Amino acid sequence: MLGDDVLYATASELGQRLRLRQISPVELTESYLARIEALDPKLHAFVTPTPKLALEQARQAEKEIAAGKYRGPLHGLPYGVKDLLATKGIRTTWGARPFEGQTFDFDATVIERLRAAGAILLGKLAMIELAGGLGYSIPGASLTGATLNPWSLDRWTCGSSSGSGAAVSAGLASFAIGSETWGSIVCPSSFCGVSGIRPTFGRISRYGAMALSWTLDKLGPMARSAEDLDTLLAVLSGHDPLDDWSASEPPHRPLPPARAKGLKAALVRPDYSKGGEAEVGVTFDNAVTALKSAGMAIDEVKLPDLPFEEVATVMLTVEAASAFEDLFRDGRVRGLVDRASALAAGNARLVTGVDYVKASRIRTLCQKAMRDFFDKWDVLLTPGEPVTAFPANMSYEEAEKEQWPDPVGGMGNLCGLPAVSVPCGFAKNLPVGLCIVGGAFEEGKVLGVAKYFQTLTDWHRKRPPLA
Amino acid sequence: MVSETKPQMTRREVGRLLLSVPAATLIIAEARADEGPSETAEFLAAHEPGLSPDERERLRKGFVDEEKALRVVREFNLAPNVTPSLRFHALASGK
Repeated sequence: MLGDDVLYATASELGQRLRLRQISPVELTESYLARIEALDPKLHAFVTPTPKLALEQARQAEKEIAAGKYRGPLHGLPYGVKDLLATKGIRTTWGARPFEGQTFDFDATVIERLRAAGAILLGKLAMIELAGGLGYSIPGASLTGATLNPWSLDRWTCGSSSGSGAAVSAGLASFAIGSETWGSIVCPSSFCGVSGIRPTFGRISRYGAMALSWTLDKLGPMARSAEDLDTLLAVLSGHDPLDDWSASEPPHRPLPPARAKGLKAALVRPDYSKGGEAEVGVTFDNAVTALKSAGMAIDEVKLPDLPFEEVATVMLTVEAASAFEDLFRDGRVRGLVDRASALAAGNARLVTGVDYVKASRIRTLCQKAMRDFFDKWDVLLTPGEPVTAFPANMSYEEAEKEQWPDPVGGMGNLCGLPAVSVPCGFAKNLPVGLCIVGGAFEEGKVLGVAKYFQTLTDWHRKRPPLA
Repeated sequence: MVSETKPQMTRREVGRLLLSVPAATLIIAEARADEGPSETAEFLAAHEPGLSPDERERLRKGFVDEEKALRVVREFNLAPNVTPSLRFHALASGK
């Protein structure tokens, strides 16, 4: 079996070694499967491991690479996928009891693209039930219970891409696919100390993905470095006629880290007096100082004074209630873990059609304001989350007391803008993320700054203290 | 051309509402002591099918914060030429 140094290598490093036949896809896959078997009982990152399929795909990759049929930088790389993407013949639970036995007869576009690139599917990853679409209050709101944080097993990973964060952080896969409607990639990336990107809305096809909010859902990769995210985004992005909302913009083009140094960055600092942990602020400030010291121009600014969060709330509430209307109608909502779920339809009923259209019109203003903002600045810097991972066994009563501001998340998701979270240090011995947001379809800049940061620091190389 | 109504909620208050946001879903909406749900909200809470008395009460309290977000949207002044961000395309036939 391969050791931790190999299993924790970045996807880019592993890809290079696979291409040069220094390691074998079969050996690499077997090593990850063994690690999953040993560690996942502690973490609950996987819903459905797929060892048989993984070994079949690994053997095929080995044959192809040996025969000189190299498919590209993902060939032979084992990965996991959030369990809201359809996989032919393998159950797709959406993290929810009512869908525990659900199986599709087709693969999601993302799965197809990864298979075509020669990547190896290790299994389906745990998630918050229905990606939190009907609300959730506790970390355990999932078919498989709370996913535990590899950095401290009494802490949560955040959600809803819980298993994706844990699997990458614990070295159970070389990369993972997650999804974000609002915070579901950025938060677990921050809590678990991994690199994750929420791409521009429409950048990656959602065909075959569970729909929670048609105007807010995005899929994105999580990995061990920003360079890996660059590679993954290049493979996953591109128009898909099967997704009506798939964008037709030119493919993602990576920006060399050295060029990112010359970009202009805006800094949006959370108001810790309204929530969050001051220790996170210190760690984040150190990250900003590292970028400034290296020559990057950074100005502290405020977001345009627009109701980003209120508008997103109204639209999301209604779209989610529509997406899962059948669950209310036939009573299956009672099969969900979280007690908030049963109330979601009632919440949505308060919003009228006029409210929804009005919210959509205000959204237009918000988009234009942020387009102007990113005409002035190339990227925006803010903490991934202003808090560190919190206890995994919180009760409803304890959860009621948890509050923290999210000044940029509402804006970024409402406007469909890309954001990456990369590890930038620790607070209370738990990971802290540096979040870099950019203009629409400007993932090159966002990832360029992230890569530049990772040339200056080695936080992304830190490993959790797992046995 | 467009006059904007400033949000009447703090971000923290809004955060309490969000249902699918990890940053906010850990927060269950609670009623503020100084204001209650509107008559519409009271009606909806009373008539929402299939809820237990406890759930009905939590829904009623939750409406207080839900209505704060709605108030911000409803009171926001927009020029008539601001169009929705939703996309509609006429579908051509395949002929």
